[in-house]
Amino acid sequence: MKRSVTIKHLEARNLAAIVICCSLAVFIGIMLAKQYMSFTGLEQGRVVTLKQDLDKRATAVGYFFSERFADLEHIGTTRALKGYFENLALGMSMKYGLRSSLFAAARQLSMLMTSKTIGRDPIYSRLVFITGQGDILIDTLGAPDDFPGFCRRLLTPGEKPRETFWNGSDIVVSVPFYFKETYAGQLVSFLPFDTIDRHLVRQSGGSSGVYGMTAGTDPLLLPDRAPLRLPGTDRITPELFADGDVRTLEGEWHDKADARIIAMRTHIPGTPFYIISLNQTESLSGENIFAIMVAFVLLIGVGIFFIWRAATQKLIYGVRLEASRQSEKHFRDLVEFLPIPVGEYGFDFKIRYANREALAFFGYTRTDIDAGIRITDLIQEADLEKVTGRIAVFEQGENPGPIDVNVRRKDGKKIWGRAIPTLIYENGACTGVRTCFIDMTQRRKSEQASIMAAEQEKYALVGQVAGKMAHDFNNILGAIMGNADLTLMDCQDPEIRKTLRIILEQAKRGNILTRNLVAFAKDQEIKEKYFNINRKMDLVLNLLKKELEGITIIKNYEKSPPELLADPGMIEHTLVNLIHNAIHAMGKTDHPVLGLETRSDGNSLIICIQDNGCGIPKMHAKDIYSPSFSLKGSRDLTKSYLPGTKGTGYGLSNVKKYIDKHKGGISFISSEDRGTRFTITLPLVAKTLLPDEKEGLMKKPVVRKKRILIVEDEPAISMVLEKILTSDPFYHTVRLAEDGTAAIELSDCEPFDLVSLDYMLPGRVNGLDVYTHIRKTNKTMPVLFISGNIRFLESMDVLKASDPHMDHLSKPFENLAYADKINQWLQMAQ
Amino acid sequence: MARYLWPFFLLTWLFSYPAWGGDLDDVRARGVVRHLGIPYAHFVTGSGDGLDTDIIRLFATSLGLSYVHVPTTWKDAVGDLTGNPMDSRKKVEVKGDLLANGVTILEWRKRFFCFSTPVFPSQIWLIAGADDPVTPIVPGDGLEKDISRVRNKLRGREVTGMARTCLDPGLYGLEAAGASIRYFNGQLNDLAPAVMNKDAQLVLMDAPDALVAIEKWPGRLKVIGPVSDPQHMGVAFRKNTPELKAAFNRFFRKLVADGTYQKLVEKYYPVFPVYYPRFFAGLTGMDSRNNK
Repeated sequence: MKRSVTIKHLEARNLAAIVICCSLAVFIGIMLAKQYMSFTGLEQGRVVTLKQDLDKRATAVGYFFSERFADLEHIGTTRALKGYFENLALGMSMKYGLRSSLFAAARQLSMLMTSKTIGRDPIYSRLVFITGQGDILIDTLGAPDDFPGFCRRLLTPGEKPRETFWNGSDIVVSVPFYFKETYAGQLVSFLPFDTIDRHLVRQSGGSSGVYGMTAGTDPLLLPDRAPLRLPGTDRITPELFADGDVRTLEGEWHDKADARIIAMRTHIPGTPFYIISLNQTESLSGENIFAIMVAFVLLIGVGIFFIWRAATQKLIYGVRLEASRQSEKHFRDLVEFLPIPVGEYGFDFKIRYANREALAFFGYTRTDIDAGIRITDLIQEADLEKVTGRIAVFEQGENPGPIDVNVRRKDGKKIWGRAIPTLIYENGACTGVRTCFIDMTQRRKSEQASIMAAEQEKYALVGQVAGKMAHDFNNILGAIMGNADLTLMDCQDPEIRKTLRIILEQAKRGNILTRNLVAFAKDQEIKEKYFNINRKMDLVLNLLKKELEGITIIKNYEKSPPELLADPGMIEHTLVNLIHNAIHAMGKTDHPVLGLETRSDGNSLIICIQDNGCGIPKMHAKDIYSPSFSLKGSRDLTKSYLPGTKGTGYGLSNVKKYIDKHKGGISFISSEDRGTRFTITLPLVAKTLLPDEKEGLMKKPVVRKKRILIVEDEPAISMVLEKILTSDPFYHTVRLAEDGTAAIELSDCEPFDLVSLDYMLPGRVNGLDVYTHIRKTNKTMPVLFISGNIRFLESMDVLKASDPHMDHLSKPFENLAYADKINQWLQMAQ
Repeated sequence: MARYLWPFFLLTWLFSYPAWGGDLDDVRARGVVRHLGIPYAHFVTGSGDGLDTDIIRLFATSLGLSYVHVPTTWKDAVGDLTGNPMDSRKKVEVKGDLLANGVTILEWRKRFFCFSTPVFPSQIWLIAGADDPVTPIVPGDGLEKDISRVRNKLRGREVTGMARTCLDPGLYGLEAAGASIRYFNGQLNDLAPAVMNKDAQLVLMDAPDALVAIEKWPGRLKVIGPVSDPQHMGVAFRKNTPELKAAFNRFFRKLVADGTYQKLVEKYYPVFPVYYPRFFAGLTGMDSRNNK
């Protein structure tokens, strides 16, 4: 409906355009007729135009000559020529000195000759200095005897005027030179007429006529190209212009025998020369008028056609464009208000569009997008390769479906999510990707928590079994070992002795296995201390000195690593296990090399242990941290280890458990027969708050100058906590208690606003006892438990339910988390 | 006795020969030609160019060596080139391989150096300030008479020159012509300003320097006339560097033959071929003779 109305309008417009064009044609016809009627006036106008053109040329040539006068007068003012006359006045002879001055003056004239050009032609063909006595002193042509006839009058003694005159093929410009206000000679320049004629007189102008230059008294020699033939002569004589500067002649012009020719003459200012122009003029005939009319009508007809066509196309295009815009706006609005992040990016990785939710989700603004954010800016480094690989697949027009990816917000916060892509096609070609993003962080955390819970449950079960069995099993092993040992002392039969030794050896192995099992199952509390990791590594190497014999050790320690806050025993056990495994793995290696590396990146301490041993088969990579899993002994199917190498299967599972307890990470890369590299990452805890941490804290209300009791048996930790709380921005007063008894005494004697309480304390009084004692007299004072003990953590929920003024922080923790937690509780208590 | 000594002298000569013949090799081994130069006229401008600077730089290039300019003074030049200062018996460090800055080839200098073939013409002229009553001579039939005319103007006048240079008035017997002699303490380039500032009445200047001065200060200095026969300038070498000198002479002949020398003269002293056409024609002749 809308379309038909538009076409109707289009036809009316078309009709209007045609009517206007026809009117225009009639109007032009009338104008042409009028022009024909006023032909005489037109002719007069043409004469005026030609006259103006001629005047312009004459002015240009006149200016050219005034420049030449200026050139010569300038030379008269330069040091070179004056220097010659200065030295001449001192009486110096040519032989001793004066010739040098003359040489300099001659050089000056030569430089003028070469420097002045018009187009590519030199302006001057010769420069001469003639003394007042009529002698040629300098001649750039070097031929003073060959002086042109008409100019010889300059070679007479006495002063000559400033003048320009014609001398055959040259025009001569002559300027007097004065030294100390006395006439000293004449500077004379020769200008080739042909150069002036070619570049100035005949240069292209508004007319296609013939131009020439004359000295006024001389006849004008017409150029060869002139199409003009005047009856009886080929010369324009000066008498022709005796009664005025414009003449109309009858003559032959090209093939036209009875052409009318306008001859005009203009004086060149400052010279005795004239410029003359000859132009043909002709009348307008009726045929010409008709031809012009037809041409105009055709032109207007073609114009109408193109107007109609352009207008039609524009309207149709406009309708389609508007519909397209409406549609696009509709869908844009839909996408813009979707509650999930949606964006588009091209294969140059640049983000073209992001909806409101996407901007809010990733923390960017529309301006950021316009400035050129790349999709790779949103991806965490670990996943970059995966994402760019996927984009390369998209570029091929294939869509393999959703991809799970780690992204980062503008503020650096990391998010785990799923990107669901669709390909964008434009003109049949795949030009980009439209993707929506689902935040999976919470879901992932839940999954991880479930896995951890299941693992802890498994460990707890194993612990219970191990705890119960260990005592009885060790008793059994003790009896076996004791009796076997006694029998061995008395027995002389070699066969029986051999059997007894096997019994003893296997019983000892059973003992080690039991110990490791108990260590694995036991929920050990972390006892943190600050220590130097390099020294710990060296200590472990010393412990394993004997086993390491014959192995090349390459240490690549960071020179001064930051001190690590961790349980030294657990870390030592970890290192012993990993190095022990490496030694076993290199048992069959010809040139075993053990590489040890420590480094830090500000937030973490990284420990690498590398060997060039048998490696871990890919198929077992996921099992190595499982309890009771081993690749050694009877499970060494590929014979990668030396005979007799045995493992309990609990070494790496314990290592993993220790590292998890420290909130660190462990990973490995391994290649069969080429070796294994284990990398452990442990969080670094500074001994005080960092500047940016302080800055973050200051953004919230900070409670200052309160009294706090810190109960902590580890001096390295209590010192750090005290430092954090007593310095900027808190300035609290802190009292320290190293055990439960001291804590109870202090809490009885002094009032506190908050207690920071370690659960595991030396002696008989533990943290829970201190808490119970405090609550007897103070029900509302905030108590913050610090512990990594699983059993305690399990009981926390029950405690919290009954006491809203207590909280806990799991070890190990970051300083900022501790300071923030204390500040929160003090704020709530106010 | 002499019968037993001659083998000793023969051995001494044999062993000392390499010290004479190895001079060019030493320079090649060092990889650099050290040009001793005193800023003077357009020979060594002090701005890294000049006629002699350009020639020696090209010489170094022709040997495939790098070039270094070593500044010196007239007082130290002999010591810097030979290691034996003129006025001391104490040895000094040799700082350069050759000396070139418009050094006039004089007999007394030949006691210390050996010179290359002449590389530039010169003559000693008497110069006066524009206001000085002494007038320039009108040149006559021959140089001898011109010199005589100049000497006739010296009676009772003070003539300033520089000791130990070609401008030493003692070299030209001016005292005998009735002039009182004065030695200038400044630099050679300061002689012309000394006349203009009336610190000196009449001074001796060599022709290249005098022409530079009158072109630089037209109307303030006047050339009275010559006091010497035509002289030549050359490049000075240590006496024990004959190979280096020979290499330079070969190079210079080539420089003239390929027209480079003429271009350098055109650049620094364009008027000189006009003044001393015989010298420049002789150079070209020397080249053509050698080519034959």
